[in-house]
Amino acid sequence: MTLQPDDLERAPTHSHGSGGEKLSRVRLGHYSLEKREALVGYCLILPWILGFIIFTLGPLLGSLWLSFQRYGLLSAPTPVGIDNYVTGVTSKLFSKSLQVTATFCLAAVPMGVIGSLFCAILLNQRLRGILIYRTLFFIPSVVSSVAGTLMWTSILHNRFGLLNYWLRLVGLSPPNWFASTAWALPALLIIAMWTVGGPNAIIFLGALQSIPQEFYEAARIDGANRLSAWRHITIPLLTPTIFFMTIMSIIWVFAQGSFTMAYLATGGGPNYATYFYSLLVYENAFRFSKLGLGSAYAWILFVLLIGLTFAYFRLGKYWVYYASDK
Amino acid sequence: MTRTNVTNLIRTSISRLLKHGLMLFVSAFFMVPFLWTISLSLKAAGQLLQYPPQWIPDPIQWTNYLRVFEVLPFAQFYGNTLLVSALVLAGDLIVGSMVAYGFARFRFPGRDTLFLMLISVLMLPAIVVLVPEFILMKLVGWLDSMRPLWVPHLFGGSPVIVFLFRQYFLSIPMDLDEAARIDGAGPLRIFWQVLVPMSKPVFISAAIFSWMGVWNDFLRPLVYLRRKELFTLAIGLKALRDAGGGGVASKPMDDLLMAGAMLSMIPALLIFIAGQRYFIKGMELQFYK
Repeated sequence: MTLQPDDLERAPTHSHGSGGEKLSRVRLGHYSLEKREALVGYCLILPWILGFIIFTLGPLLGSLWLSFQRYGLLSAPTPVGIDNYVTGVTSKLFSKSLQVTATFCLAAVPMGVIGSLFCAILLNQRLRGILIYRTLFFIPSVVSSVAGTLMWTSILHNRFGLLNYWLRLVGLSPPNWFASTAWALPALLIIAMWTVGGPNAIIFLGALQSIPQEFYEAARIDGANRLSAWRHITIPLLTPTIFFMTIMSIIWVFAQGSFTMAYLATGGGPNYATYFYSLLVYENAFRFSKLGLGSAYAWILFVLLIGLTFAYFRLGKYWVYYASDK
Repeated sequence: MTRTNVTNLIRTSISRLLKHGLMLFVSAFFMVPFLWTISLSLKAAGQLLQYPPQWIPDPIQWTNYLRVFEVLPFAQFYGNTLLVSALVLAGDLIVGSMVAYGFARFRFPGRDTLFLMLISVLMLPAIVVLVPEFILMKLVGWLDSMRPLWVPHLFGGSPVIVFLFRQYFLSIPMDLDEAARIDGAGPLRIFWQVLVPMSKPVFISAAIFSWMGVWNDFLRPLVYLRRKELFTLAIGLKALRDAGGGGVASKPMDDLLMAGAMLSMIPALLIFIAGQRYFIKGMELQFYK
């Protein structure tokens, strides 16, 4: 898949870098050409390796260790065995936050995929100014989630908000969005759809446009109508995209996407109705300074996600269709 | 004959009208929040809680935008965000591209595995790493400073950026590299004089991605910045809301808040509109793993 320098097989008289020495086919001083290449390669990626160890691997292992400690920043950490995990898992907020996050996922991911696919189809038309529409769809994702959440807070205001005003105009009795335990999560759902609809649509658009037209022509010759062209060509060829989008969305919801919205719009309420798992970790670690417990929660999430991803990839073999298969 | 032509014309016109109508309807969903926010941001305080909601404020209060700067050191927030963005940008573009160069053009044992590890970081939930990273920052005394926000980017940028660069570099044929090598150029010179000039599009895409990531980041500044003087725009907005009455459900119609939100969005929007071609190209490049 990657292009490789062929010069090992080519003309043996390449002069190289420093000193302009003529080098024989394989050796330059003590180092063969391969080793030299590897050395340069390693040097180039060295910053990343360092960064990975310091900022990713280290903290990852560190948080594992921390999860077995009680640590409040003020004094040294004290080991408490699996206490954090036990207290953590049995806590009501734990199950509540899992429930909230899972519910949100179950609603948001299908809606998101279908919604953005729909938008992609819309954007795939040959219409004048389609590029302008594409920009308009995309803009919400460009602004910060802070700004986006704040904008929607005012629209979703119960008494003076725009949406409820419109709903009343058509005769409905609109809910109290962020103040209602039943409707707070749907409110966040709206904001989420608004934010990711555009980019996801663009991704689908790219996938749609990469389907060769010949397939559709062949299908039309065989007498297929629009619907079966969809069922037998488009959808199967889109399954890889759907596959990736779904798993990335799930991870996003669980890990961080939901955080800013929930933090700003509802603070997790009312009555923990929007208490996402990310809020659980954040509050325990940073508000209550229970860094050990926070780490435990973070690791539980990590393991859960890894398990989920593995299972997902396994299952994926059954329904994802790669053009290379047959 | 003429009648069918006219019918056809009418038919296509209607269909085109319907299509545009549908597009406008969907676009409205995406755009209404912005329009409404603009409207709110220009309203005088007394008019905020109008019912039914009025779109056009009367009078149009431009001073809201100025007052935002009085209530909080908003200009400072702008400056801070710009600073962090610039530093992250430098790190991401310079280090990120070079790391990608290493992955794309050089063979070394473990290369593909390492690259896989790099990508897998993308799937790592930020909060898992955040807690001990926080402690690390505390140990070096970098809490309540802006350094945790940009220093990690000196070490290989962000995985997204490296990935973007690598994919692009892979698509550039090796011929020019070879020619340069025959002329005696070392790997770094090849990088600067061959690859980089040919990579303007991906540099622009990467720059936009990097910029957006920093500008809109909320969690990390929230965790690391304590003093008001250090706030970025994201946290500044939150502070603006707290200043207007604090808490979650209070004063959602604050006019200054909306003006502040607009102020924070304008740079991002401008950059996007200017560079959207590259932005979207970058997204597509990224997704075809």
